Amino acid sequence: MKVAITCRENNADALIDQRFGRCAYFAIYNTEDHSLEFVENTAHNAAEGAGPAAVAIIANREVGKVVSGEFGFKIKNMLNDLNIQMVIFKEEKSVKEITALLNH
Amino acid sequence: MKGRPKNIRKISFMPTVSGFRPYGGQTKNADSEGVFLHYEEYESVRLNDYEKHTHCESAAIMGVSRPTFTRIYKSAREKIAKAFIEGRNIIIEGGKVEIDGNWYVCEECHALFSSEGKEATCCALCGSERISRYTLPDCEGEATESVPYLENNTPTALSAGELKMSLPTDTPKRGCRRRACAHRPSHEENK
Repeated sequence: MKVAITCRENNADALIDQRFGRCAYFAIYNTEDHSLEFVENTAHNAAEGAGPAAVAIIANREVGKVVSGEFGFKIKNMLNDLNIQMVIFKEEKSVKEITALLNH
Repeated sequence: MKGRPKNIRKISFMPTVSGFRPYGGQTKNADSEGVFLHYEEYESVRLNDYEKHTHCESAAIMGVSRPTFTRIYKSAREKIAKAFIEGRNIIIEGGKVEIDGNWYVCEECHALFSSEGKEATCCALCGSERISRYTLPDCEGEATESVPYLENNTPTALSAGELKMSLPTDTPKRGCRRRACAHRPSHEENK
């Protein structure tokens, strides 16, 4: 299953970004083949509607779960309709540590 | 007769703290009765002052009408002002609320995760089985884990799409009547 993690830089040591809509990058981790790719969040500087645009980016990549620090109210219903599970993780961990947790 | 029953107010998350205590005042005031700020009043201040939404947007988020939201917010501000001026403690508890959505908390990694339409058996992040429902403590005996508008409280009978349609819709029935409001129903249809 593919998991999207919001992060501040495009490397595995980057810390998780606490916001979903305006994060810098998405780290897409595949739990089956353990591959990790980084996608830039083009909705980062959008004046309005950054959340829905970010949801479109991860939905195009067929992500099943998303990990971030917080989610805005506009996108909670959108993610529920798309069957994408939301995980809120407030601790300052790196992408590498989170992928290690996902490999349970 | 108690009159029309209150709508259940939806809040997104629990408050980060349980309350506030003043310092530096006379000890007589500090030990006096605290002011009880309800969960929905806390949420109204959070949505309106912190997230900077309009009253109309905040009312839609909380699932109440705009005048109701304004009354809740007014009550919140008055309680906070009273605590400020009289040097009382603020205790955040009480009110007719429920947490918005189906959330679980993991005791192992402290992650919060959603699980629409089905029971979660293990943490979505670390896989631990030490999970529990994220819900409010019983306040006034009315706010509980069960979802009151489902007939037999078992969401498994419906799929996620059907569940959404059977819930009361977010927009108020008549629409907001404020002239400049985006939710205002168009009058051209009625002419």
